[in-house]
This record gives sequence, C-alpha cells and structure tokens, in this order.
Amino acid sequence: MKLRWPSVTRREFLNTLFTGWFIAFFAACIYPLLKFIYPNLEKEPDFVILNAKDFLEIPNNSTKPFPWGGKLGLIFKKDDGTIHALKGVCTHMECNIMYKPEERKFYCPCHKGYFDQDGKNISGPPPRPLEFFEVRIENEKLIVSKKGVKVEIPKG
Amino acid sequence: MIHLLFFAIFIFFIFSTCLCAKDEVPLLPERPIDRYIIYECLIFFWIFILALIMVIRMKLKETERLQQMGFDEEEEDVPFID
Amino acid sequence: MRFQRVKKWVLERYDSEALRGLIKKKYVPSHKYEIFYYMGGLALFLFFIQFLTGFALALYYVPHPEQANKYVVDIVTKLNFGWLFRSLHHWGAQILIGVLFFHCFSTLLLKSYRKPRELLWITGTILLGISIFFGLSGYLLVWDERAFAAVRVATGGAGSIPIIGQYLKAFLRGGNDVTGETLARFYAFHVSILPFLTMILISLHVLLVQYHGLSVPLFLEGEKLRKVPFFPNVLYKDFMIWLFVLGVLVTISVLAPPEIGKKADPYAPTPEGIKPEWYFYFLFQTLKFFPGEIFGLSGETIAVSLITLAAIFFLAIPFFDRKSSRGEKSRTFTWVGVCYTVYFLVMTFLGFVT
Ligand code: FES
Repeated sequence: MKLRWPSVTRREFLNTLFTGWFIAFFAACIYPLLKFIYPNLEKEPDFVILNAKDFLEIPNNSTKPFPWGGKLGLIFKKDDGTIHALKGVCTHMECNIMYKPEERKFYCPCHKGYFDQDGKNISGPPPRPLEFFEVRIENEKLIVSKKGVKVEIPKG
Repeated sequence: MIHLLFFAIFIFFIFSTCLCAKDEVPLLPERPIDRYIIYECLIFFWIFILALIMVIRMKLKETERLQQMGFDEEEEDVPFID
Repeated sequence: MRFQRVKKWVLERYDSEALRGLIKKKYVPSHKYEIFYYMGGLALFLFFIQFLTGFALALYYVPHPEQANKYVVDIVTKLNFGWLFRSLHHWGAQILIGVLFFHCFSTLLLKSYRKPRELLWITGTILLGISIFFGLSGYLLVWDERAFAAVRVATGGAGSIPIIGQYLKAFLRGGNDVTGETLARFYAFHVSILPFLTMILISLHVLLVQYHGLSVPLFLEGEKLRKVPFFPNVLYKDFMIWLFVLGVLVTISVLAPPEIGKKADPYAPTPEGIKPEWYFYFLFQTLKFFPGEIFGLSGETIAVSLITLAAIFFLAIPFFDRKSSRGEKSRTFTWVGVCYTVYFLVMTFLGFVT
C-alpha cells in the first residue's frame, strides 16, 4: 500500500530530531562531569608488611594499632602470647573499636557493640564478626594478609 | 544599685571562669577583664534590643490607630523608595 | 537636592506604581494561628545570619586534614571576635533547623500544603533536607574526633540505601572511607554547592508565597477574617521577633560556646558516647531499634529503606491528600501529620535522654 501522506509530518520529525539530539548532546556533556565528581575508589590492601620488632614486644592481652590501608588495624596478643591481627573497624557502622583488657572483649562505643576475643559479635547491633587476618613472621617482618591471599614479598 | 548589680555579675563570671578553666581550648577570651566586658556588653545589647522593640511597638500602635481612623491613604504620596 | 535627582532617575526608568501597588495589595489574614506565619520570615532572617557569619568564617578557614582543626582553634583563640562568630554560626544553625522543623510541621498539621500550594511544600521540604545536610557538612569542618565518627556513621548509613547506597556513600566520602578527601568535599558542599541551591530554592519559595498569598487553615476558610496589611504592620511584628531571636542567639553564643574536640585521627578508637547533632536523633534512634539482622537481611538496610520511603512519602503528601485539596476535611492525613510529628518529637526526646 502506498501512503498518500507521510505518517510523520516534517515538523514532527524536526521536533523529535531536535529533542533527541539535544538530549544526546546534553548527556555527552554531562558524562565527564559525573565521571569527575565520582571519586576513584582505592581498594583495601591485600596485605601490609610491618616491622616485627615493634609489635612482638607488646604485653599479653593487649593491642597495638597499625594502618591497614586508610583504616585501623589491630595487632592483638592473647593471654597465651599468640599474635593475631584484625581489622579494627566495627561491622555495624564502621566505627573504630577498642580492646577492653579487663573484660577480654572488643568494644565499639558507637552503639555499644561487643565482640569476643575471636571477633565473634556477642552483643549489641553488629551483624557480623570482626575480620581477622593471617599473620606470619619472616626475617624481622610481620606480614599481615587477608585470609586466603598468597603474599609474594618483593625482594630487596 | 546598678554598680552593685554589675559587680555581682562580675564576681559570678569570674567564678564561672575558674570553673570552666579545664577546657583544653579556651572558647572565650580568658582574661577576667575581657570576660567582664563581654558580659557587660551582653547586658547593654539586651537593653538596646528591648528599647528598639519598644519603639517598634509604639510605631505599630500608631499605624494601627491611623488605620482604624481610616487614614490608610495617608501614605499615598510617600513614594516607597525614600 | 541630590536625593531628589536620584529619585527622578529611578522613576524615569522604573514603574514604581506597579511595585507600590504590589506592596499595598499584600495583606495577611489575621486569626488565632497567625503566629505560624512568622516562622518563615524568622527562618529567612536566620538564613541571613548564617550567610553573614559564614562569609566571615570562610575568610580564615582552610579545609586541610592536618590543619583544619588548628585553624578552627586559631579562629576561636587568636582572631578578634572569632569566638563570637563561630559560636553564632553554630547556634544560629541549631536554632534555624529548629525553626525549620517547626515551620514544616505546622504546615503539615494545618494542611497548608494543599492545592494550590504543592510546590511550596516541595521547595520547603527540600530546603529542610538541604539545611540538615548543611548541618552535617558544617559539623565535619571542625575536624575533631566526634565529627569524624558522626560523619562516618551518617555516610555509612547512607550506604545502606538499596541500589544507589554504595555509590552515594562513595560520592559523599570521596573514597572508601572518611578521609581528607571527605573534608574537601564537605567544604565544597558547605560553602558553594549548598548555599547556591539554598539561594535558588529560597527565592522560589518566597516568590511562590507572594504569588499564592498566605494559606488560611481549612476550618477557618469560610469565615470572614480580618486582613492586616503586610506593610508595615506585619513587617513591624517580624522585626520585633527577629530582634528578640537575635538577642537570644547572641546570649546563647556567649554563654555556651560550642566546644572543639581533639583533631580527628582515623586510627584512634572512637570516643565514648558519641552522639550526632540533635536533628539526627530521630534517625539515630530509629536505627537503634532495628536488630542487626532480620531474616538474613541486614537490619540497617531495612531501617534505612523504610526511612527513605517515609521521606519520599512525606515529600509527596500534597499529592496523596486529595480531600484537603478539594477543601474537605481529611481525617487520614491529620493522623499522618500527627504521626510524623509525634514520632519526630518522641525520638528526639529519647535521643536526648539516652
Ligand atoms: S558502629 Fe559499632 S556498634 Fe554500631
């Protein structure tokens, strides 16, 4: 069948073209702006290397902070002298936690969350246990790594 | 009388200065004389405000009286820019 | 006379009759609830004070994570009247947000949002949201431990909004965590982006009020009300209220200067008993009610989703409340209004006492 009139008038066609083109152009202009204002996200490190000397000396049943990326990490020495490392950030709303030696618990002051020595969330709002890392000592260095990450130490 | 009042305030604030001296960062000027000046200024500030409010009240009453007498038009020739 | 010449110059170019007519035509209805009419003007005045003190403080403040805290301390301790202006800015913000909440809830309860004033409600509610964000961003600029923890919790909470949460959080923080980047960002929000939006919205809001005139409560609509000219009667009353509030503001600022904590340190444990600013209590308390986990879902996500929904509904109330728009009594929405208000008041109260 041959149409006697086009189903789209010239005016409609131009209007659609204009609007569509305009939106596309606008989007193309806004894209770099959006890209710019959204930050580059750094990933959390897979491992950090610390000086073993500084951390092995700490008394039993105490903690010492170390930087885990931009976050707080804690080296924790239990009563029996074993060394552990954990992320010192509450799993509830990311407040920094602290260790209460008398109660042998980790404590988050933000909403009164408690974790036991193994990081299990025992009371308060925290939904998950604390994240513990693997600790290894290799010629004077203390290597703290995420569980299940194989650390290749750069030589030199 | 008024001197006595100021003196009482002075003593009170000296006392309170000593009380909050534990602040790590001094949040107000610390010298007692400065404190005294500040608190005294505060009192004058209030006196000025209350007086100003009173004057505005009087002006308001006056306007209302004129409006009640039907003198609304009174402002007719007064251009608003002056 | 000089002045006459200036006057002539203006009159030759601008039609003063029209403006004068507008001013003369502006009447305000007078009735039992007229006190609520003054809240908007008061908010405007307080915004003005915030802008003024903010300009002054911005001349000296530097948003650098190492120095920000020191600069605030310097403003307070070393500059002439620095202690006064910081205190005024702080307390001005508190009072302003209080007035805004009052303004908002009175509008809600008197149903002044009904047709044709929907846009007024929307601009107003957005302004309230912006003001709260103003508060949060300004709070961080002090860069002390409390502010740091509070912002960490608040932005973390925004991260629990479903779908967009993670992006929003990263956008607000300028990274994965609250750092110096966040400080720079919040500074930009606080001194340039938000003031700009505020100016636009306030102008729109005020223009709309001029256009629609002031709303009369539904139950008074049929009655014959006395009308009072805005200029000068109501303006005089406005002035009196402003002066009084200014006095109160200065007094509080002098007697209770806000404290400055220790410089924020991302590796330090969170200080004991941190609380957000009071206008976050209602959110903070809501979050507290939810357990960590509900049927395997994070309780926080559920709470934050509910809050988001409640906020969206709040914004859209004029469109749901058809009855009031037709000028009928609407029981349901009276209850909705009462619920929101009571919830806010109770939660804020709980926040203060716990
Ligand atoms: S952030 Fe730790 S309990 Fe809420």
